Amino acid sequence: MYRGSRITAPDGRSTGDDCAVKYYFDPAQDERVDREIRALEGFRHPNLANVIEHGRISVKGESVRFVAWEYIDGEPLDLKIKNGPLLGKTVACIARDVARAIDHIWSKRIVHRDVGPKNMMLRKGDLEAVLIDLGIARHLFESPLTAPGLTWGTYGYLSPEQCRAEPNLTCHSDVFSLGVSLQEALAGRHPTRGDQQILITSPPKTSDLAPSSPAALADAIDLMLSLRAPFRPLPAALVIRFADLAARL
Amino acid sequence: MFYYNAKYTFALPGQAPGAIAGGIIPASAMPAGQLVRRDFRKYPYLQHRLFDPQLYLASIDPDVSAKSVINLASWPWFCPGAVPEYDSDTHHSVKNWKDLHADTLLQSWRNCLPDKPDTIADAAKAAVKAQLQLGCEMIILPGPLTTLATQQYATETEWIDAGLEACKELKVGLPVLATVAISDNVLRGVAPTQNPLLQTITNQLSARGELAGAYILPELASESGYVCTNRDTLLCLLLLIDDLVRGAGKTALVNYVGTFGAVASAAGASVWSSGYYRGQRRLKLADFEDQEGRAMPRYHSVKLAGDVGLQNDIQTAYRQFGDRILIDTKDGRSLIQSLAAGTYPPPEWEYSQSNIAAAGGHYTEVAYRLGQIATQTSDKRIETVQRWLEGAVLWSSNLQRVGITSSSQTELTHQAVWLNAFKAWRAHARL
Repeated sequence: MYRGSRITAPDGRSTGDDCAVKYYFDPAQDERVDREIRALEGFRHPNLANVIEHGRISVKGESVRFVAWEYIDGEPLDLKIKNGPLLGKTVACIARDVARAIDHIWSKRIVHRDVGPKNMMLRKGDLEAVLIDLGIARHLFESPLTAPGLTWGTYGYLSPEQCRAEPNLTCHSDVFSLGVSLQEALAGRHPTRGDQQILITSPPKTSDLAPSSPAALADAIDLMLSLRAPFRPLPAALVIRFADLAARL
Repeated sequence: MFYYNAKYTFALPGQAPGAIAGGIIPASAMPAGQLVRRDFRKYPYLQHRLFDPQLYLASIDPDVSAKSVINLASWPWFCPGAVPEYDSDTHHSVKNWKDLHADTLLQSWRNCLPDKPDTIADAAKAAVKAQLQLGCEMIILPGPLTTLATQQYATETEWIDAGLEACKELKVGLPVLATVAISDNVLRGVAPTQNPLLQTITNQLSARGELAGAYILPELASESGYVCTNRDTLLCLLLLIDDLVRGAGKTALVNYVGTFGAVASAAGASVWSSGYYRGQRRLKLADFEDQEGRAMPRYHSVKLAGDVGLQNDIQTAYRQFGDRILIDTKDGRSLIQSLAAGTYPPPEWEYSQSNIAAAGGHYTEVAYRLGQIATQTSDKRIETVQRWLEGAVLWSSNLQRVGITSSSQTELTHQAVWLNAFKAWRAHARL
């Protein structure tokens, strides 16, 4: 991912707006990139990085795909966590905004599949978050690009359904991954130090990881880590719950 | 709460209680043109009515189930445009309409299930519209029968989403239920708590906030009697209900499980539906047809959670245990009195073809009373059902001890299976 400047406006001139540009050198990824673009082109959402432009450019004589995204002025959550645990209010804001993004993409029956700190940008001020990179998102009604028995996502953030390689995931899966990320943000470290197996057999309690975190916040996060998917709250319900917490903390 | 599975006549059998909470009208009961003209006001239980579009019957055999197929094919989600809709001016009577179009409907039946996104959308919309027109209290989205565990529930979710889209377009304000019609073939032989198909189903349904719940019906393809005798199937049903109700806060309605519906209500189902005839108690595509004309009377014992044969077994049981295995209902009273007086059987309980008014009324009153379990608190429901099933197991062994054997009339084998499934669910749910 590179920081660039938007190259074309409707009249053909550069606008000078900042953007994030992602280049795809591997032609085998073309279909995946197409899907990501198709998925995102229909979205304009404050908690999702919006696609500005996409196409091909020539790099050393080779045609390379690129996607230019809205540039998010802020910092990825994984880098932020490296500086230590985040405040309860900040965590509630992240939860509210990312849940809102998950809810929005799920309304189009799309599952992100890679919700984790590296794919969450915290805007300056730490009170707004944006979910980025739908590169491996899956639309429920499109044929899978993943071979049966394989799963996508990031180890340490996978839901039990992802670990079972269920092909038709739902928003419940993204909610689980968000829950892990929120625990990490509150604790300042990964809740199981990266151990995926513990996460999907006996996920730790938030209050054990971050004893000083507000009880209502910890309880809400714990529910997101329910091992049985139907027992996890829907993203729309999380938006309401975390918005309330963010206002009160 | 017990709902009655309505049939063509709508009338409840015998002296069945008028206070029955509601009814489910299946699409196969009569042709579309006829149902939309029926007056529901005469039937108190149908003031709370649901309509089952029965899309899951799309593969029934027209050679076996001609009458049902003609009725089903008259609804626009099956064979759209196959024949003109019934019109009283043109056809004068439904009989004329049937006579005129029966052959075409039967011929167009095979492979008539929509399978393209736009035809699925049209079919789903037609099913929602029909229910709005019929004044139903909830909308049951049409759904196909799940017969393969390997298809990841993709076709089923496509139908659900098409139905939800139709509800949005038609601005439906009623609770919307997804149909979960599932063959027991895909539920047997896999540990229910680990069954990936079950996990996929509950995952998909609970993720759709627009759904109020599910209308669940197992197809007992592997059973020959009136009741389900397989632990895996029953436990799957209870787990499915639990995930939806306790997990996702949704509603679960269950049909075609006989009085196991009372067990389902302990697991959280708010409504279960049944009726006297075999076709009202359980669903099996292979023999799906209205055979009530040939039905024989059966006595349902609440204590046994099963039927006791009227030819010999009920007298043997009475000689050994008195009326302890019987229950006083309006229609069953004369049977108890005749056994006590040694004048068994009274005419209304004589074991002869079609003599089923009293037996039907008795079964319906029993089901109604079992339906009252749903009014108890969750803890109380569970304890009531556990005691009931333990008692049923005991009665099953008591009857066997005095020489009564399991037969097509007397059901003595499923009680232990029901109790086992219920206990396994409780252990899993930690309740």
